[in-house]
Amino acid sequence: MVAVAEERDARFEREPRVRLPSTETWAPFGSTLDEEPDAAEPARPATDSVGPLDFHERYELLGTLAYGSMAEIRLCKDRPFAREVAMKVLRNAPSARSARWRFVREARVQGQLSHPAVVPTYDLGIDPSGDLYFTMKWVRGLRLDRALAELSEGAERPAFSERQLLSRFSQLCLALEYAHCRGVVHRDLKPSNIMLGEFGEVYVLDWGLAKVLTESQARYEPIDDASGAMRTSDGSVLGTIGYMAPEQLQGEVDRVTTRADVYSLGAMLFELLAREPLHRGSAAIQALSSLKTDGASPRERREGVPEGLDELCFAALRADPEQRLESAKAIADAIDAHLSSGP
Amino acid sequence: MTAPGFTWWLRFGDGVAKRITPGGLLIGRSPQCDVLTRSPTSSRRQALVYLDESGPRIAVMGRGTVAVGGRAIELDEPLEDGGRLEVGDLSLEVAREDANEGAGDRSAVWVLETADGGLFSFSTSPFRVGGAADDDLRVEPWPEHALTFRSIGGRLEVEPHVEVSIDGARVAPGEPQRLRRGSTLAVGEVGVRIVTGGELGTGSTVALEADAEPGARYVRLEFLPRGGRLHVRAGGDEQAIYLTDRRCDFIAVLLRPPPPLAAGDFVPDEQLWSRVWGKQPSGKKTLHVLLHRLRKDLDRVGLDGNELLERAEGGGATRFVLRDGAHVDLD
Ligand SMILES: Nc1ncnc2c1ncn2[C@@H]1O[C@H](COP(=O)(O)OP(=O)(O)O)[C@@H](O)[C@H]1O
Ligand SMILES: [Mg+2]
Repeated sequence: MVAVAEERDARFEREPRVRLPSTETWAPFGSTLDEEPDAAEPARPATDSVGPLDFHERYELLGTLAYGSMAEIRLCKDRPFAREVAMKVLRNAPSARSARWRFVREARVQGQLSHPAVVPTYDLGIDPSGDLYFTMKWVRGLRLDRALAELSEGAERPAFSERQLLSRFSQLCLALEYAHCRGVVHRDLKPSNIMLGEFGEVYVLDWGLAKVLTESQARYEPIDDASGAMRTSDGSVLGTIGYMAPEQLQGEVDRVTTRADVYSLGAMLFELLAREPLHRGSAAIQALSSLKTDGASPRERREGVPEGLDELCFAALRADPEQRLESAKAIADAIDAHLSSGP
Repeated sequence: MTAPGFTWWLRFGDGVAKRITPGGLLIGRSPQCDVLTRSPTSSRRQALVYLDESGPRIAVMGRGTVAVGGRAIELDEPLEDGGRLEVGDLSLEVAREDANEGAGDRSAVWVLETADGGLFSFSTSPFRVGGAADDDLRVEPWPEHALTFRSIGGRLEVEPHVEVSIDGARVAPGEPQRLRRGSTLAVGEVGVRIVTGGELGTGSTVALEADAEPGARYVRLEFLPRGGRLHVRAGGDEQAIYLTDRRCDFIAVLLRPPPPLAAGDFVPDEQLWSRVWGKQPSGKKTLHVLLHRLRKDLDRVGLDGNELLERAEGGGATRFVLRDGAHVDLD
């Protein structure tokens, strides 16, 4: 078993890209679960590290994992649980109320979605320097954009084969189906917001742009995001060019529904099958291509794409949401059918 | 925004860093500060580290030691990358970072749709549309060089050279007009529509808010021992910017003019003169320079300076444009 463990793929991001305090105190991956006190250390009551604790007693900052557009992702030790957690800290605009409001909302949406593909959240608060933060599971793995890049560059031993990626992709679609049932549209699905773990996990990151539909639009347990005050107004464009649906790009806010996510899933599936992004080029060219494309066929870019999947992409990428494939589950079902029929 | 390609940070010993913004980080003992000191010799508001058009600066607000690189400072000074700052019991480092995600390719892109359904995108500014062969986009029946589009800080303006109808309203040639996504422009019978546009960088997430009616919905002027912080919410997120003494006074007079004038009204130049400079007008230029700088300040944080600080037609007065029911707060 040990040999297997050592052979684990080095491409998975289990080594954080951070400076850690010292290698002795920290085992990179699979650190032993129980933190038995050192024989040399005087035995303390086991509950000492449990609380009540203030922020610095609870969390030890280990380093920075990544910088997002508005937030910093830090790696912290969560002392009561003796585990590492990821802490997302809003650090852009300390005084902008709307940014703070959105951040809390992001934490709430992510925190209320309980699904294996939604990173579990642990704690939401304000740190002693006044910054909002929430903590969540520290996710280790390979981002889908990197996995796709390996595949399209024709790497000899890609971390994931096309078949493996398709199977993960189907899981991803079911996670979105779950969010959609609860009335949440992610609005920013793209390969760099998807993380693939080594042990079959798929995670959808970054719920910061999520749109919460009205209660009546949710099929069960609508999300309570304390919103109302801040609705996105018509003409707002939110998302990432190249992956956002045409209605999103045109700022038709009321037409942005769960089918906008279906489009983004279609764009990712297209990229997986065609080995190149659906829309390429400068922002100006991608914008035009996004608006002009009405259904796209990966087969036209790469030979050997199975017909069923080609049609699936086409249906998911229709420009008019009314004509588009109706659900994320429909994508999952079609992929599953393909996988169970093929070799 | 400021100094494209860089972001500036204030680093604390424990690895934590706070972003330096145009609104600034207020350091002091008051719990309202962005950065707290516990030193009993510190003032409640001791210093402000902010970003102006050329880079980060520190403004001293109260008593207690404020030192940069071991040298005590008294007023307002620029800061450099790697500079060490001593404020009360805090030791901080100024750090410059290459801008990361979200700051990639920030140039604006606009998409136009012509009457026959053709789609055209442009990212160069100015962009001319008309009936001439040398127009950037040719719309046959239009006069030559009919419209010039300009992209300014992620916003789109059109300068009409002929009479044009914008969203149904007639506009005479001359004055540049602000456009929004979805606007239609017609010259004669033939129109074009702005389908989408803005700072759409590839690869990174964008959140471009719709620009609704002009004017601020929320304005707060937070007076500091020196100058003040202006918080404004117009179309998008709330923005904050630190204003040095005179700029701050100027805004204060616009937001609380002498009665019977009220916030949002045009304030005559004489009133501004006596309240901001404490004397009679000695020339139009000074006021214009200050107004110009203030507009630039607002542009820098993504607000529209020209739209928010409006001169009366024919001159002689200035106002801070507010929307109906806007909330104004001076403290
Ligand atoms: N739970 C997590 N575990 C590990 N890395 C994470 C986690 N959440 C985010 N990250 C990393 O941080 C980056 C930015 O996070 P994101 O939530 O997208 O921030 P932003 O909303 O500012 O874009 C991600 O691309 C990912 O690499
Ligand atoms: Mg992100």
